[in-house]
Amino acid sequence: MNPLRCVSLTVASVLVLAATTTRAQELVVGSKQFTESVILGDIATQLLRDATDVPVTHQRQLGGSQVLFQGLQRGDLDAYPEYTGTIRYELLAGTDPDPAASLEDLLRPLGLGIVGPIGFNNTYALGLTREAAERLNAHTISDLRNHPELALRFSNEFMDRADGWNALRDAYQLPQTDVRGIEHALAYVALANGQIDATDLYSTDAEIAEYDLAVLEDDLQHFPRYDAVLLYRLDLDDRAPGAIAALQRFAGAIDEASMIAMNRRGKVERVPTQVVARDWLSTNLDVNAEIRVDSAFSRVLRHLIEHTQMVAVSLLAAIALAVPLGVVAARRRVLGQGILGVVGILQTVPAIAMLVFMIPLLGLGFMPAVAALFLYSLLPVVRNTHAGLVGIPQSVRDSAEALGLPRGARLRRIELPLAGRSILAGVKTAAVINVGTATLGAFIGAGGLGQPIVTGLRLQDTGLILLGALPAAGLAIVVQLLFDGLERLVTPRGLRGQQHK
Amino acid sequence: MLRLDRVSVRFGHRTKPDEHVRALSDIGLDFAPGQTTALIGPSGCGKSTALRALVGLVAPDQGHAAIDGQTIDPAQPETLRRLRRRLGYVIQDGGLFPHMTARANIRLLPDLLKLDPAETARRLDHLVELTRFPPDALDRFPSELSGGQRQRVALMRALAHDPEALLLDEPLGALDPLIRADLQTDLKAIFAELGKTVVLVTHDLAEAAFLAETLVLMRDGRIVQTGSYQDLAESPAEDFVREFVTAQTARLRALDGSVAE
Repeated sequence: MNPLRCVSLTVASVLVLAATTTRAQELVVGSKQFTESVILGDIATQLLRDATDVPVTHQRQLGGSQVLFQGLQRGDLDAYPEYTGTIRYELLAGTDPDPAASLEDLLRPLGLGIVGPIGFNNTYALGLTREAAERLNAHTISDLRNHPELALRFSNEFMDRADGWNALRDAYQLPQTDVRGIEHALAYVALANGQIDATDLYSTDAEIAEYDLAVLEDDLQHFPRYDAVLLYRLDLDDRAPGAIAALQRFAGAIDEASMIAMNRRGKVERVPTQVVARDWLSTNLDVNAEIRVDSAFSRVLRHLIEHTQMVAVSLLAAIALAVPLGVVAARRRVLGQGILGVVGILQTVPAIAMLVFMIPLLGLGFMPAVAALFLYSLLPVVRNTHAGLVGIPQSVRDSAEALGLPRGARLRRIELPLAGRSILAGVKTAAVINVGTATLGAFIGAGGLGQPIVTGLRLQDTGLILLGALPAAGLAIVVQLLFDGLERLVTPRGLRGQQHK
Repeated sequence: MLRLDRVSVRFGHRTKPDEHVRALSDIGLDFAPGQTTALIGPSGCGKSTALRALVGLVAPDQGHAAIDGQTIDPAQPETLRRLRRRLGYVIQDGGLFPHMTARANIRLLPDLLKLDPAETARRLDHLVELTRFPPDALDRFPSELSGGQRQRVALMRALAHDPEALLLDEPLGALDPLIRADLQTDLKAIFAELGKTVVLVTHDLAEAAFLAETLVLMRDGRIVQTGSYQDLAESPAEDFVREFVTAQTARLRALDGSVAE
């Protein structure tokens, strides 16, 4: 096996795969990981299905504004719900937008258009339990200055955003130091249980009424308006005539009370978001959408297949590259240290960051998730290939060389078989890690068993989380057993019972 | 045909010449065709390095090893591979491929060279007989063989492609005394039967005297004396030779009276 040929083969197959997974003629709507965004995404999806003949899919619950905005710009998405404050102060913050310019003018050069305002303002707010607010005598955000001991927990996105915690702290000179991120959906439960003192709220969240929370007045008018809008690609009509006109029907259509009511149905009453969207459309826009809510079983099966595909494709590609790399590393000591160093560093990149890094290169969906998993798989396989080869006894290597075996024959007949168990163990490690990491693929629209987990988190539905987590754990065990069996199968009798390296 | 031509080998740090260990200093040796030559001496004297230079596992800093005037040069892998097929090499612990049966170990090279399978099979039968190896053990893996059997397989593997010369590096070093004596007797018969050029590395004077016509006594990377056992015993070239012979004589007596007469 020529290592170079292997590498080029891998690259070629990845390219072919990338080419074949390029989007067919279809429209894709995106949404964020909270119920309101998913409902708006479902409404947009059903509107587009009603107005055009092009198939429309909904990439629900993607991981954050940046992921969606980048996906929209790249053309992986055609439309998604967003908020004016987020666009100006977060998404366009890097370009230093002219404060006087309208969002339409700012977005047009990016090839994007905007529908709205939809009719409600979902601004950030700070909230605590009514009991705590009275005890602390806190009615405005300024009042928090008197309570530096409070434990503040903000949604992860709020922690990182340009218009988030840092800006808020500076504006109000807030003294709190016990400040950390938390999954937004969990913050309400933690707040109600008294585990945290205050969190950021979205003002249309149904939980504010549900948990009877006190919303602190933004007395310095720090938070901008977050009017809900719909972002879309300007080339939408070229591919689906009438699509933009359909989306325009959103403008001014939903007021704050209606949105809170829909959020309540979707989140508190756990009505499927498609149903919430359909009901709203038939009542308000006289659009009667047909929706298909798959059974839990067929959904889990689909996610399991997606998951297995992600793991299998990334693993195969990684083996094709990592084994030759391990061979090179074992043969050339200095180069080998370099190779092991680089794949080691790749392993230290946090999975979420790795996935987000992939978006500018590969967009949303299957490919970037596979690419990230591929990179993660390299280290265990390269390291074990290297270790397996280096661990071959000197006398065996000398014998093979002194016999005058050609290099290729030595590698194929002697070295790789002897390193085989070590290599297989590396592949097994990579596979099991991948099964776990692939659940994060849901953040960038790759589907998989992470999908029910994300939905479960959004709805605080433990059953739904288990619907993703249990099959993932099962898959990991199956993979483990599969490789154990494979090891027994391929280990020649002469090597059995020996100590594993 | 086999020779070491003023070979020097240094081991050690590439950038610190002062710390180099001279493993071989200016060794010149012609190995008599069809005869057995033993390289002997204490540990670290360079005898194994000399053998490894002959098979191209060590690159000399100066001088070269050669077969029929063709240089054995690790920098020329293609030529080296061709020349190595004229040699058979056996290492102390056998160096058998643990994932292959005895038969597969022996047949690996002939099959890769696409030698006539029928001829290879005939040759294997002959080797099994020659080395007195139990034929039913051919399909066992090295881990299922005794130490003596493993060395017999290693010997068969080295002979499978019918090389002109046989290079043995402490072939009996890892065996217990009884099996060792047994195999020494067999080796002597095998050498006699094959009539090949044999170079044998051993630290055991008795073994060398028993198996080889010519003994080459080495110390600190140099040749101290070359000759028969009688030459070394009766006219030692220097004190070291006398000490070496005296020290090993006790064991020599225990072995074969005919050699020590």
